[in-house]
Amino acid sequence: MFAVCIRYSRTREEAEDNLQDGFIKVLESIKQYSGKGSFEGWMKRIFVNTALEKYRRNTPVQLLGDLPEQEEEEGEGSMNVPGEVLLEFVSRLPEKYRMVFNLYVMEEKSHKEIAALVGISEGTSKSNLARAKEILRRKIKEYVKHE
Amino acid sequence: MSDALEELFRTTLEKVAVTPPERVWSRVDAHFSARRRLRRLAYSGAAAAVALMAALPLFFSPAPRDAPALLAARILPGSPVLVSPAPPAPSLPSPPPPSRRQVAVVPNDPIDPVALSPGRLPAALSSNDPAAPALAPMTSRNTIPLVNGAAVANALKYHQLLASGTAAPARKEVRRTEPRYTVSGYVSPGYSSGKYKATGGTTNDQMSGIYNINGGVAFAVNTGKRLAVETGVGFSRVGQAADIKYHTPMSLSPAARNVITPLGNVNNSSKVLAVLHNSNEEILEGVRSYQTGALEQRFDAIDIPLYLRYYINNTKLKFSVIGGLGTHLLVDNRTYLTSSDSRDNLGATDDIRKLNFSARLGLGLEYPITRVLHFKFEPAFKYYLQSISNNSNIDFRPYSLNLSTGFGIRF
Repeated sequence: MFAVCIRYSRTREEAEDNLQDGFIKVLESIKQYSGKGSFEGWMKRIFVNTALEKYRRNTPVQLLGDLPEQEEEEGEGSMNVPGEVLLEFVSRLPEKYRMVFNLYVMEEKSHKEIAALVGISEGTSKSNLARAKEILRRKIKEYVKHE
Repeated sequence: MSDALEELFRTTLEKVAVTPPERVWSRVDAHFSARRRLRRLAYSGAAAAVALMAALPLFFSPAPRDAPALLAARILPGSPVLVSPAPPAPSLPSPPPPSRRQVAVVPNDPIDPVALSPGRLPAALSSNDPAAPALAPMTSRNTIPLVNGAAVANALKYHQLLASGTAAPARKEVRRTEPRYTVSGYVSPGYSSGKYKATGGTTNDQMSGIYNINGGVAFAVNTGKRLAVETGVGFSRVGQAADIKYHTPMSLSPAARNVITPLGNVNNSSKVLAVLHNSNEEILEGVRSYQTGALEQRFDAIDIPLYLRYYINNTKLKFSVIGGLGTHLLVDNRTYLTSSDSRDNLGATDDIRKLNFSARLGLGLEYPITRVLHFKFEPAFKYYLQSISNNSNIDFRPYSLNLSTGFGIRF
């Protein structure tokens, strides 16, 4: 769960805070766990929601406009980049990109759901995802080049 | 739509595990510790409040309850009685307890992939085992304990006793009412004086008042929550004083032995003295030497009051208004001449009434030290309704201001 928190956090301290808040929520609402689905999945939702709440609290205005989605480039999947490096790339994304990226890619939410969760338009969600992916692609390329 | 980049991150990041620093668990633990302390405090407060509420009827109920009788009356002979020891309170898993943001700065360490260890999670979270304490049902109880076993056993014995016909006679209901009677003792220091009016040639000079100490015993009957009738026996003193000049001649005619005062002549029979009021300077004409001193006339009486007391409030600290009449039986009438080196009793003032009446108005303050013993403090004003002298030329109706303090016993 700490990895989840890191993905959604800008810094390690923020991730620790989210982990703490998330565990407190888990322990306080553990009776609500009905047994349906995996306990880990239930916990993960709590941690993601904790990060989302914090993001919504700290980001009242969405300034970024819609951007056209970038053309996909091939070949990233074949790159052998360590997981911790990828995690660091994600955690260093600008917050609004990071949030949309995580929700879309890791939580497999739709842009409509993301728009509702984060409080942005669907178009913004799409453009933020495109920006996030663009940044990540660039970082991966740089990483591979230096390796 | 999923592309290669998304798939790369999804598959890789899902396998990444990072061990959080120990301080996170410490903070979570501190959070719940504080919550537990607060909860314990709240439970203690609630328990104390419930105990207090439960105890209140013991203080205010009019009659003591016969607990076994009540219990027996509620449990019928054939009715099932569930006697079960109280189940232990369900214990919550002791999760790591509370406080947050205790560490402000943490270095942005590189992320080390470490397998997520169940051992690092609290026990309740480390598995989905339904037998885990946190997930165990907490409300599965088949019986509800009504009372403890000893109480039920006592109740059944009592019921059997009643059924056997050898039951003790029913207790006479004792009603706990407010005490009706009060006996109190009081000491009442004060000041008495009065305005003198004279006709027919007696002196019109005013004398000054005297300080006195009264006291006595009072008996009160509470006729209701607010009203009480009081009487008693007390001692009271009124009087007057004045600075004087006097002369001691070698011989004194019987006529000169009378000392003229605003309250009447003093029969100067005990001492051969010529005592002169300061206004009768002419009497001193020809007297070469005279002395100065103080003349004090005292009239002591036994008081038998009859007062009504009305309690303004009905709280612990009670305020009351007192009004009524007093009867005064004169028991002592003396006049003292005090000089620099002696104090002599000159005798009694003539024509002082043996029986007099007064009106009294006062304020009362009463504080219960115990249910029985009360402290009383009462400033009061008393005014004599008749002149203290029978002499038709003298009208002197003294008044007194007194602060009575004492203790009352209520029963």
